[in-house]
Amino acid sequence: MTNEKHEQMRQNDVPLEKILDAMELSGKWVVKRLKGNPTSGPFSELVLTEKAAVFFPKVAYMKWASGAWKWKQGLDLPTQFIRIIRSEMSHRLRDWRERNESEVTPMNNELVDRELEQALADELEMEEEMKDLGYANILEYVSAYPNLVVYVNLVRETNSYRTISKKLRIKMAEVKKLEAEVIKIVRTNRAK
Amino acid sequence: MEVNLLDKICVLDAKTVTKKEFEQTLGMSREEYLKEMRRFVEEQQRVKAAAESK
Repeated sequence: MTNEKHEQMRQNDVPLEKILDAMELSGKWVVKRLKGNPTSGPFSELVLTEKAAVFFPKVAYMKWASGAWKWKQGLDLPTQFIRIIRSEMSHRLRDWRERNESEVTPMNNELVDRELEQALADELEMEEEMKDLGYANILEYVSAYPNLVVYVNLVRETNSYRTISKKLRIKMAEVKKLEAEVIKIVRTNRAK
Repeated sequence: MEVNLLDKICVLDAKTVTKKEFEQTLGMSREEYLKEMRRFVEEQQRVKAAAESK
C-alpha cells in the first residue's frame, strides 16, 4: 500500500470525537501562542472574521482532511493540527507584512511579538534557526544534567529512537524515559 | 519512530491553557465551542460525501 493510500485510510478511520479533541487542543495552542485574542493585526477577528482559536483549527481540519498536508510519521492528530496552524500563521504573517510594509508603525509592529516570530520562523525558510532556538532553550534548562545534555544533542542530530538507543547503548524504553525527563524539566521551568 | 521533542513541548504548552482562560478568550463555553466545531466538521464531511457520490 502506498503512503498516500495508507494516509487516506487513516483519515477516514479517525472518529469525530478524536478530530474534535485535536481541534480543541490546537485551539488552545493558538490562545497560548497569541497570548489571548488579538484585537488587531493578521490574526485579529476583524481580519479572520472569526476568533483565531475558532478559525485556525477549522483551517487545520480542512487541510488535513483534503490530504493537502503530508503526515509526519510518529505525530498524533493534535500535533499534526498544530503544525498545520503554525504553517498557516506564518504564511498569513508574511502576506500581511508584505501588504502593510509601508504602514508598519512601532505600535502595530508590536502586535506580532518576537516570540511569535520565532515560532513562525521555520516556515519562513528559517527552520534550522527555529530549531536552534528551541534546542538552545531546552539545553539551558537541562544543563545541570550531563546525561540529558548528551541526549538532547543526540535528538537534535537524529530524531530516531533506534539510533539514539544504539548510540547511548541503552534500551528504547530508557530513551523514552530520558525524553520524559527532559519534557518534565522544561515544563517545570516554563511554569515558573 | 521519531522523537519529536519540540512538537511534544508545543502540545504540552497547549495543555497548560486552562478551561477558564480558553473560555474567556473565546467568549463561549467549551461545550459551545465543541458544538460549533462539530457542526463545521459534519458539514464539511457532508459536502465531501456529496461531491464523491456524483
